[in-house]
Amino acid sequence: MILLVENLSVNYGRIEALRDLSLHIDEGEIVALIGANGAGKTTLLRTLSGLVTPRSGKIEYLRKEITRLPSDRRVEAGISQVPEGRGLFATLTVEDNLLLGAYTRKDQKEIVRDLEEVYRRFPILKEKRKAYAGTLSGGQQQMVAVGRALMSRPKLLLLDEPSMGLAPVIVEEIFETLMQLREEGTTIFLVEQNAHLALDHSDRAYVLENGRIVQAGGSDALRKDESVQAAYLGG
Amino acid sequence: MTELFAFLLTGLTVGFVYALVGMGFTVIYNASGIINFAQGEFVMAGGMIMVFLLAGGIPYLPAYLLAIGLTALLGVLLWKLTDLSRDSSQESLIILTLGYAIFLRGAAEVVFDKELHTLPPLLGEGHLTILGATLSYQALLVMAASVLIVAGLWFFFRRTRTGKAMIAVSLDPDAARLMGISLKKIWVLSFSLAAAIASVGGILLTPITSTNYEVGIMLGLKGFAAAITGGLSNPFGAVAGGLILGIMEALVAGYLSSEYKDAVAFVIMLLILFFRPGGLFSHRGVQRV
Repeated sequence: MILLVENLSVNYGRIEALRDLSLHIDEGEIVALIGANGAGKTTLLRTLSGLVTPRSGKIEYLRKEITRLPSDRRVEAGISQVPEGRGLFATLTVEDNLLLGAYTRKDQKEIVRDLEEVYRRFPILKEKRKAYAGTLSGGQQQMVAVGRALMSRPKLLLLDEPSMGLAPVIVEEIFETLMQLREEGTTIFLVEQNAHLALDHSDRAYVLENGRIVQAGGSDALRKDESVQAAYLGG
Repeated sequence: MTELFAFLLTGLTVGFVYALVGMGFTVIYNASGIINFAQGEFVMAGGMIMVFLLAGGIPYLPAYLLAIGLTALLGVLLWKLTDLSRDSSQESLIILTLGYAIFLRGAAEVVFDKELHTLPPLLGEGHLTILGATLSYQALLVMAASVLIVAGLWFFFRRTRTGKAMIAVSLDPDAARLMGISLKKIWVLSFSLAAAIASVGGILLTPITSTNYEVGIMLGLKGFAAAITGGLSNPFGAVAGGLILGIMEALVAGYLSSEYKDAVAFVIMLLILFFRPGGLFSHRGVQRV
């Protein structure tokens, strides 16, 4: 098991964002989290990355508790996130963005090799490597965001709405990359509002409503589930 | 003509010191969103510590390094104070820096004294004559050192990993944390860097204008005006802002009356705030407010 979350509760002031949430992710899996806007999906990812401190509960990563570990140590340990809205550094170049992804690493030669690897995966980024990240199209920016997250050599990759605002062709390309990454051994936790997309590309899934997990199971089974169909798959 | 040139040289010299103070404002503001009103006191601390280290018999070079180092420590101490109250609003933290400024002034008065002090010029009393105007070696040194510092910072922000991490923090602190950048380390670095830069300005300026425990008030405000003029989020805008203010000030003092000198910086700052609140050099749209 790569990630174990037990009875996690998170508050923003007096507002309860996550309540008593438990889930687990096994190594090599793609697990999806689906839910409506405001269900708490982003809060969960922010908590997993250490940007938000939970009120109670426990997070274990590779059997070690990381509930209060600072965010930089989590990246070092192999948890990397592609945040909602991509979070690119708009006035830095594409290459600088990618290199910042490797900020916790010291192995200069390997970093250069991984940079080439990202360029191999997304050839357009090599062409644009000297361009300011903010000048790229939405799809190219998402490629930078994914590539940047890969530069830390993650064992567990968290993605927050990678399909948001992108043309279907680009979404296809991004998700193909995710499938490749899984083949290469990266575990993926995918947060998506687009439930079709999420269930089509995952092994298992959780359904989040008002900060609580209300359903869990194999993605195929959930796709056939009546209440999931009614609420998230458009009947 | 000679007169004008002399005024310009005076303006540039003082302007560079405003630039150094202004850069300190932007460095801290970019990293943490805090406007540090103790920035001028760092200039004062640099000069005063240097004066008393020399008086204590410590040779020039070690005294120089020690004065910069100690002032940087005062910067770290200020960071620590803001960190202790990190749950407070940005406004409270700004007021905290004002309190720290008053504390530093008081401490300087107690630890040192209330007298006016000066330092022997590093390169002696000599001067150059350019187009009939004189430029003391010390003023030349102020300019040269400032240019070096600005170039060094430019290199730091554009070429080094840590410098880019600081830019990343200023653009999107959360995304920066997701890269594994420790905000705390960046904050400590920015406070000590801002203090160190200011102390260099204080040490170099002291032989020209003298120093005492309260010179920081005016220098801090002028540096702030420089940062606002250039754009609070752009260290290199602050340099331009500082030079503009310094030169305008010298021209007003020379051609009108030195009575109005101190008003110049604030009039310019107010005009900027009215007509171009992002500052003169905010073209890249990197704004925090």
